[in-house]
Amino acid sequence: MDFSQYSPAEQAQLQRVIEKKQMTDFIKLYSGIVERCFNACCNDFTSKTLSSKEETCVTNCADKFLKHAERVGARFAEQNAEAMKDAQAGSR
Amino acid sequence: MSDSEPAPPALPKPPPPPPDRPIAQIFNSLGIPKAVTNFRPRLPSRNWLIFFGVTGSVLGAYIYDRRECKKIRESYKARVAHLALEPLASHDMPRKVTVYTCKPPGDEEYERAMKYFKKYVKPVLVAAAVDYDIHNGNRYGALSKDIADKIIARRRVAAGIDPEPANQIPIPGQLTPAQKRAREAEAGIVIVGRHTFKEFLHGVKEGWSASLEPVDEEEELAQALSLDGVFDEPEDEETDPAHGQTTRLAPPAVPQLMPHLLHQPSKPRKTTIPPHLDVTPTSIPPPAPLLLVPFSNILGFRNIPFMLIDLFNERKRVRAGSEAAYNLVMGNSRPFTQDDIDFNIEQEEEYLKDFNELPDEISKTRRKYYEELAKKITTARELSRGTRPPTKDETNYPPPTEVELRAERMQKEKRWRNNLRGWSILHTGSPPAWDPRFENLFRVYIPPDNEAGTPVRSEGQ
Repeated sequence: MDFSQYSPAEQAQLQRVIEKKQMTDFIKLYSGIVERCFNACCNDFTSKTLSSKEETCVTNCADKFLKHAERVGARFAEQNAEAMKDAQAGSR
Repeated sequence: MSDSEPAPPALPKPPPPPPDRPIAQIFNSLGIPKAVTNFRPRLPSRNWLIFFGVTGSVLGAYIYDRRECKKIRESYKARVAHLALEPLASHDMPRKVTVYTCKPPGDEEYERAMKYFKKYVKPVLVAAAVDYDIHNGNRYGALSKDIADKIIARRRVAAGIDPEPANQIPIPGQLTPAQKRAREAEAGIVIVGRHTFKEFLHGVKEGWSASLEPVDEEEELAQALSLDGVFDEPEDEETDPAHGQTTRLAPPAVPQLMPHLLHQPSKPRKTTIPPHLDVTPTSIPPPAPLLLVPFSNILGFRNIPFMLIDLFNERKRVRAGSEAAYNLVMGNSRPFTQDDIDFNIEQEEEYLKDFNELPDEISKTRRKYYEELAKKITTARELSRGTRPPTKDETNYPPPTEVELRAERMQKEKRWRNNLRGWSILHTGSPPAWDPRFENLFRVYIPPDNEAGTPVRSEGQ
């Protein structure tokens, strides 16, 4: 986002709004991972502790989810950049 | 023949009736009818004789037996009744014995030994005003576990790991734990039947040999089961080198169950108790003297004739039970000998073949269960992952989910293992648990006039 057209007070406020949004997004991502990995990995409620299998499953689930998110973000940024380039090339 | 027409031949005249006896004549003239004076007693017919004979004998045997039972019971009650009349201070409590009973092997009814105690032993205890506390084992091996747990709890309190259990509200006249233990030690333990005897010895041995670490057995079982390859999927084959065999959801997981447990890499349990406290004691504080009550439980269709014989011989059991209770009340006891280990060994002949073959039956049931389980797991996973839509039946009657299947498996495994543990304690021919520390530890109640024993306490409390 460009901050040049806003006064410093408005910039500060915008910054706060953006931070709050990022925080909520982060929390949503976290609980999303927790729910998905729990539903996928934990099916055995006969034991109170996590078994080794469940631990590895959870680790894998979290890693994969974050890597996946990262990969999707990268692809999305690429696509975005291409689209912007096309738009700019088209507008010339 | 001078008769021209056939005439009826003349019948010979009947002889005149003999004259009545003089006494009959007198009574008849007094008005007593002849039916009474001519009365001749006659036996009933042969068939009626047979009927009355059979019915009368059966009824007579039954009634004789039950009357004898009553006589025997009343005689023993009379011999101890003087103890009930002794005065008791207001804060004192009567003598309280502990009674151990168990589910008899092969029997569905788990309270049979308890009912036996209540029918044959309890009346004399009630007459002597001796209180009792029954602990019944509702499943095979349950009593042994209870006894072991109690002993371990006692050891933990003695070692200082657990605080002494104190009541919130102090009741006047309440005994300190030391006084309670002293009362228990002189009170008496009643053991009904050889199966209870074996479980008792097993429980005492376990209690005094086990470590003081608190063990959550369900948790351990759950962890052991989760390492079995039953719920694994084919993709895990590469990442799971521990399972040498197939990891498909197939029965081959089953035979591995028992040896699998033995080869578990034992995770070091986190010790919460300092090692110098977690020591197996070298000597056991002597428990109360034991009253060994013989018990008999005939089961099976083919044994019905023996059951009928027992029906007419109840007096034997009443005598045995009342005499045992009398010995307990009088308190004369002798040290335990090696012969007492074979107490009531004839009871083991009565165990049904089904009970003695329990391990085979359980392994068959296990095999079948795991075969069925494989299919159920695949269905559950397909439905939960949405690989295929549910059929109409599955929508109306949803099949169990994977969580439910695991829980069910856990319950079944728990039950099978407990039954096998009970079987190993109880089956015909299994030796009762014995520990070197048991030498000179136990005492057994005997009749009061028997000089072989030394009275634990004087007659009457």
